[in-house]
Amino acid sequence: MVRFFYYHVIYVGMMNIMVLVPSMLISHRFNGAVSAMPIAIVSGTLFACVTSFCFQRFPGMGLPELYKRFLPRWLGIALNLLGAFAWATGGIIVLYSYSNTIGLFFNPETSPYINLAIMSAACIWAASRCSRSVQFTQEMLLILSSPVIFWIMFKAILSPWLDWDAIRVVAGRITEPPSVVPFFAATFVFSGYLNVTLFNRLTERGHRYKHLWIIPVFCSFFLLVSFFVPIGFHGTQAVGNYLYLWSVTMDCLIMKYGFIQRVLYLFLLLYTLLSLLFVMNTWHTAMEFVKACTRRYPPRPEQPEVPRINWYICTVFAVCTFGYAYMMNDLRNQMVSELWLIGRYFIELLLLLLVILFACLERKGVRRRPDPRPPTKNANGVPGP
Amino acid sequence: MLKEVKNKLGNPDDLISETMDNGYTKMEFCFFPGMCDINQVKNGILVPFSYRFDPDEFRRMLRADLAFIHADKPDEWASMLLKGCALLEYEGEVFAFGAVRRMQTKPDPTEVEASLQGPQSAYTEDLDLNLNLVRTVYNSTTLSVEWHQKDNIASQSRIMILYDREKANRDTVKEVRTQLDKVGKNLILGAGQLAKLMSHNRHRLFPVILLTERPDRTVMHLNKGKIVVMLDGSRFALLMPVRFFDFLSAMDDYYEPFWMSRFLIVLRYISMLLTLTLPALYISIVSYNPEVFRVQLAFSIDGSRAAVPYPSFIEVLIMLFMIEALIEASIRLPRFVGSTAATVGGLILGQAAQQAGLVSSIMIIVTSVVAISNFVIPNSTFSYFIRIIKYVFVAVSIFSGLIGVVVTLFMLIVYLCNMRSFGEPYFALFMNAKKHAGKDQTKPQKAG
Amino acid sequence: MKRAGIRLLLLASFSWSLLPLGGCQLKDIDKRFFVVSAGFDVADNPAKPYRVTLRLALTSSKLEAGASHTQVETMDAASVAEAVRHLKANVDKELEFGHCREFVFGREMLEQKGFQEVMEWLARRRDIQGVSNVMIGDPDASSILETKPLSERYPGNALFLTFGNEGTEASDTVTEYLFDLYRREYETGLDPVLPVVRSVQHAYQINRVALLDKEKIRLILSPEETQIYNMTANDIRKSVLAMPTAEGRLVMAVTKVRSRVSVADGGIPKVVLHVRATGFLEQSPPRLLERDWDGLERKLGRYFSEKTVELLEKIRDQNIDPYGFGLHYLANHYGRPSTWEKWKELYPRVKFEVRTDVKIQGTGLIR
Repeated sequence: MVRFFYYHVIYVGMMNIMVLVPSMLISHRFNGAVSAMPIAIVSGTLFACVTSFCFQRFPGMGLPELYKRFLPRWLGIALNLLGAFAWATGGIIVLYSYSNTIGLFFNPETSPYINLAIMSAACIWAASRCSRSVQFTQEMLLILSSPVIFWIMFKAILSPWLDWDAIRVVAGRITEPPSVVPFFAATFVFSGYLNVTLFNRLTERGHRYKHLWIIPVFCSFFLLVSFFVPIGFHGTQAVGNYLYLWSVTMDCLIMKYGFIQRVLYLFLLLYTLLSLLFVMNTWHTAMEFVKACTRRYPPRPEQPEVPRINWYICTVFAVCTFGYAYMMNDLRNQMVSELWLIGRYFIELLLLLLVILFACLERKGVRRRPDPRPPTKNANGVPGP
Repeated sequence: MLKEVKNKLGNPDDLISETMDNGYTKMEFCFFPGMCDINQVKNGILVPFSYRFDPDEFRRMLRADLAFIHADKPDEWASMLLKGCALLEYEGEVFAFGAVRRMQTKPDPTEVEASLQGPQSAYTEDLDLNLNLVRTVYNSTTLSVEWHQKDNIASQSRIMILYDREKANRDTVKEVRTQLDKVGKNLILGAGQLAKLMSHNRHRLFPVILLTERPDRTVMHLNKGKIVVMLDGSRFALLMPVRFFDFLSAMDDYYEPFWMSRFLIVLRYISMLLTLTLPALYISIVSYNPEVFRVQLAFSIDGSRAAVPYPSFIEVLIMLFMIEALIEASIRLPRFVGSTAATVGGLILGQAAQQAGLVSSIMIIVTSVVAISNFVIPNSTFSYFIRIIKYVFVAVSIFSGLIGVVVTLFMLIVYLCNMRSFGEPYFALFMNAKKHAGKDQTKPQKAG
Repeated sequence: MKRAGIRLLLLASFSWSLLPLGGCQLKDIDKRFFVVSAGFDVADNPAKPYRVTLRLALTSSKLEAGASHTQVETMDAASVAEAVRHLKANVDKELEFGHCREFVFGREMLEQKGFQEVMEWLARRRDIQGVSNVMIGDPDASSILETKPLSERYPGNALFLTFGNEGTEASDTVTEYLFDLYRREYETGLDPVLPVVRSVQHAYQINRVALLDKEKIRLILSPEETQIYNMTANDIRKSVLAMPTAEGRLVMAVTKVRSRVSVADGGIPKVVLHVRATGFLEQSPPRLLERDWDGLERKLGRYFSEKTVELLEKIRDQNIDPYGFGLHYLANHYGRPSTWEKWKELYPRVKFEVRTDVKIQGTGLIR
């Protein structure tokens, strides 16, 4: 089931637009964003490959199970909560900024809370499903929407209005020394692999993360596109003036014969699906991490009847989103998402070190508790024959 | 015996009960002439007893002939009579003679799932004939046929479970049996009712059991390891577990050329999407986001809506109500009147409503596209469900326009992905490959 | 059963609570006025210097040539945004800019005030499309908006079809989009251009282009120059290349143009423009091509090169750069800020060389 892993990698790569990665990169375009990007590519690839490689040793186990196995209980709970916090805030930021974008371009007269209410209701509903259903949804939506997104990207790249001189001017700044913030922002594009922390529960024995080359190839492509295409359309100077950078960039394209003429709307409708997908995944992961803190809820990836606790936890996230929306405006949100991107990098680093540690311990056979799952159970939670 | 039977049945007038005397010996004899084939009764009992009576032969016949069953339990007499047996008491022993009147002797033509190039025979309302149809096509030693007996059903309809022993998943078979046991209703009249009772959740938005009248579809599913439930007296077999995609495939897809069938499948999915979302999209364009679609479209909608006195969603609800009423009317009406109803409703009313300025001309087109694309869906149960879900989209679009429609689409996909049909994923892609791989692993273990 | 009932009740109350929230935003299409084009002029009143003219669509269900009806509204105010707000009082429906794709700047405004402030408003509005056509109205914007072309099928489409080769593909019509104008407004080494529209009886004439510095009009090219500009800067096909010869005028219909800029370094940079034009003869003295095919191609090329160099020098002398030579130069030098200063200083003395490679595919049906 290695394809599910790459679905996550690819959609997070495409989602970078919605967590304001391009606008952070572009605000540093003349001082170190370009040179930070190759470093981010190397670092992101390394993180992704090493972490997923280590997880191969623990088929059918998510991160909480690993904590339980190797760490004292209090530390495991603390780490679980940290993970849950990081994931949930990611979802909240995306939900807020996306509902804002939607409100601006689709229903400008509507109260922003209505969009937020509709979208968070959908996210509560989606995130509280079981892990296997979440994966199916992921696959279905990605297969439906990614061809069109790729088509839009290539349409943008091949557009005659894309000014390659401007791109070359900015790319020439690779000689500047790299700066830190764009580096953290750029590594986000590679963060799709993080879903392995939960969805590794669904893997079977003997599972291998093959074709790891997909990560650097696709994610570098997304990174370059999301940085250089807006520059190509808006020039080296005007690009810094825009707040909703990618929406405005998509407005430079037109489908002459399309039913929807402005590519912007098609783009926004597709990204509605992707954003909901992102929030669904992050909230679901956060919810499972919270549930892993108690002993009452053993991991059950296949469970079509939704337990009540799922509803409660996801509703808490939604309430937090409303609180966040009440306190924020566009600029503050940009600051918070900047902080989140930086914090996320350090959590990734911590995770990398922990996973390497776990892999070493496993090899030596050191563990605090015996294997929590009997070996006959396979990944789908269905008893084996 | 006669007295007991009469007492139990409350002395019905349509029961023929005689004590017959052929001059040598006597025989008590009763049957329902409506339930029994009178020719069989005559040839099997009356002729040997009267014209060609030979006591030894007659006794031998009672013992050896397959049609005669020794019925020594007085409790069962009444139910046997009701199933179409003739009872006779000869020399102190009671025998039942199976002479059920068969209404059908040949397969019906397909009615609901018509096919251009495939087989034209469909199930009948006779279970034995249906089993014959399945066995003929799926002539395999591994086909299991189990009679599922239920005591608490008044109608006593026979229920059969069919599956391929090698291919079906044991857990799923067990699950199907428990679901059948749970069916509490004591009067089962049709396969659709049984399907409704067997589904886990009454409020489900999509069917998890596929009803079919085609033996070829049944056999194809048997070959895939699915389980079939058949009910006496129903022209439909129940297939389970099924996936979303099974409802949108017609048997013609297997008989037509490759590209044609692919094209038709794509056409069906597009039609399903259209019938689901078109009314909602109309409301969104008219009331929320006229700038999203091309300018010509916005202007022509604007022009045609100029005379319409009420908001878009009322217009949509009126037209949808009309078309639903029309469809419902033409199903229940006799065939000749049905086409008149369609003409009156579709042509005259639509045209007149538009000219009177009650609805816009674009809305008429939307309505007819919705209706036509709904008919493209090959499975009627499924198309009912789609008809209902359309209103969810309409409701959401009234509140939040285009974004609401997209978010609802997302929720629909989540809902579908979270559904399981008898433990198997309902809406997941590429599951076949995985299942085959899994089977290869499990097969040797089963053998051993 | 009871739980299901409670759930249903919750759902119902939730959806009913949405009704007052959502219902009031519902605005039907027939309660909206579609703006199809907008014009910006200067007014005489110093307190209200902006005159905004909007052309509104009056839609009908019949679509015939000449059947389109529009209404034109004008308002003076201190700023564009205020003018649009005040205009709402003049009409009975909500103004909708979502389908407005033509914005006309009055020539006078561009000569006096520049377009920055209007641009601010245009770029800020969320419902204004980035792919709108922008142009200059000569003599002013309102005269363009008041023109009612006879061929119009639905309101506003005549002007819209003229641009971006959706309808006609004229070689002297320069297409400029709003987002591109905004880019050119801020970009280093690339200056704005705008097509100039004139209304002639019941039609539009768009065959000239105005070249601007970051604020105002510096130069308006003649139709011939506009065509050369369009061929070299935008690679517009379907243009003609005409040259007088001793026996009569020679006209080549160009089917394909490719132009490429390279900037040769040195003390004073030299801009080399390579043009490759392919086409066939549409009008020529008889049997001219047969005599000297290669020579004729070379002659045509030289003639075109001379004309182009003349144009480029004329543009350079105004110290504007619509081609983006400066940007290209910057791109070649890794975008260093010092390079930009150097280029600005050197640009008035830059030399041009145009190398035109003409390829005649045929002479049409006769020799």
